[in-house]
Amino acid sequence: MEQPVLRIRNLTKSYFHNQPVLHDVSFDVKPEEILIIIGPSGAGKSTLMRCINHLITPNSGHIYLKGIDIPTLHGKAMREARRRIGMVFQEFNLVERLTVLENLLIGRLGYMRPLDALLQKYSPEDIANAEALLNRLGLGDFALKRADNLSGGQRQRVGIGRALMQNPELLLADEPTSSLDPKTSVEVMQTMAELAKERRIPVLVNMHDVNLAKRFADRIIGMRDGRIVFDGSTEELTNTVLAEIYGGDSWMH
Amino acid sequence: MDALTRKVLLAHETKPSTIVEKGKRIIRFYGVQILAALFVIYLVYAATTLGINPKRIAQGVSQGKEFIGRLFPPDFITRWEDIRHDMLESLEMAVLASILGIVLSLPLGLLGARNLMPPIITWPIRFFISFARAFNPIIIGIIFVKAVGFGPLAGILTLSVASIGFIGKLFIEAIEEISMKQVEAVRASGASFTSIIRYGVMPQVSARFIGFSMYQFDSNLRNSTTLGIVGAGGIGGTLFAAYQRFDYQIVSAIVLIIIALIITDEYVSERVRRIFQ
Repeated sequence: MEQPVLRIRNLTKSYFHNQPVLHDVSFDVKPEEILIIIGPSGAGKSTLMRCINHLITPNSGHIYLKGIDIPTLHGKAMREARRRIGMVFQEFNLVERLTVLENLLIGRLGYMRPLDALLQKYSPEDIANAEALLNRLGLGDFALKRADNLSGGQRQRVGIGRALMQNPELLLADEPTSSLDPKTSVEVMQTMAELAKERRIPVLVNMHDVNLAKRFADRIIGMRDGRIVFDGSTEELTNTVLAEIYGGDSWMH
Repeated sequence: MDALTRKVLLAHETKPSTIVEKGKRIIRFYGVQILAALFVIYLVYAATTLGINPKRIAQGVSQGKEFIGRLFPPDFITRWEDIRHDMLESLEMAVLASILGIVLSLPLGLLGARNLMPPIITWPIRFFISFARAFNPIIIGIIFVKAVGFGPLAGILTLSVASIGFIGKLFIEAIEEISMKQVEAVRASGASFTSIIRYGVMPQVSARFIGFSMYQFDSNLRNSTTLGIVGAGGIGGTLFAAYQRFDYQIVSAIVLIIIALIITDEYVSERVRRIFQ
């Protein structure tokens, strides 16, 4: 049995005293799996994502990325851990005024010497990789277009490309399809799943859409009020379980 | 409040019982009118104490006519060498001060933005920038002339301080309005702090920064033509001297050159702004 890429143990986070957003969360992300977290708004899914790459510091608990406990890291070590984790955002979070190519190359900043980064001295391999990846994403013709000229689906592809440019060991996707129409959502998920499998990167996604989750997940975690209430395969995700996750079943009919 | 509303409201009011209530009622219904009347009384009072009356205005107009007559024709020749030298000095002062002011305002703007820095840093920076903005350039000019002596160095320092006061503030405001989502994405990639500024913050504000800088250059150019009055270099000194010697034809020549310079500058800066939009 292969070691899990990410091990989360007893993770707790509260913004206000005695109101935990995450309550004693523990789970593993295994190599190459697509793990999708579902749950209602406010269940703590986004907070969990941001704890993993240390954009937020948890109150207690451990997040081991291949043995390194991320919440204990600071400064350079923290940045080095961050670049090993690619993140895809709900609202794409592209730097609007930079070109598509420049947005992809942001994924390399964590690897570059500060002065080279400042002067935009990307290595020829980085540029070649970025161009190849853009072609792969179907955005070859858009390399020199400004990011704010793209459609939602195209932007999210750039977001995925930026995360992959980091050569990550883990991909986090925080509601990657919530700003997209249903058709584009499926296409974007397909692209992400394909590229991740190819590169043998595990993906941790959180989303609202149960059907989309069932379609792409190898495993599903259900969260409610900051706790994990379900952890299993898509087949095990029955209507009874869904009713427990989302509270009541009237929304299903 | 229009007459009809007032009438309707009055009809619904109960009879006032005391003088105080009666007073309150009057203020409630006629407040705006009372304020307007007081304001008109103040205007008349101010004009009277300053000696402004029809007689004084008539006297001013006839003197003005004579003065305008003496401005023409403008004399570009007699003092041409001084005018040329001082005009170029004004231009150089404006260019150098703008560059210095912009270069200093950039880090100050980043350090003063409350979405990037903790209060312990932003507070003193913002205080310094407000302080730089507090005085008219002429007053700062007087101080620098005393501090570093007569000449363009005092003028350059003056205009640099003025530039920091204005574009520093505008830079801070622009940075505080950026989308933090774009910044978060760059941060999540493991980028260093300088890279976050360079790729997450600057692209969002650089076009506006160039616009602000061009406006500040316009303003510095205008101010560089007056600072000579207090001895801080530039065309102002020659202008003031000509004025005191009653060489009005030279005064008009200088004024025309200043107008030409400012119009040219506005044209150029408009074009530059358009390129970067």
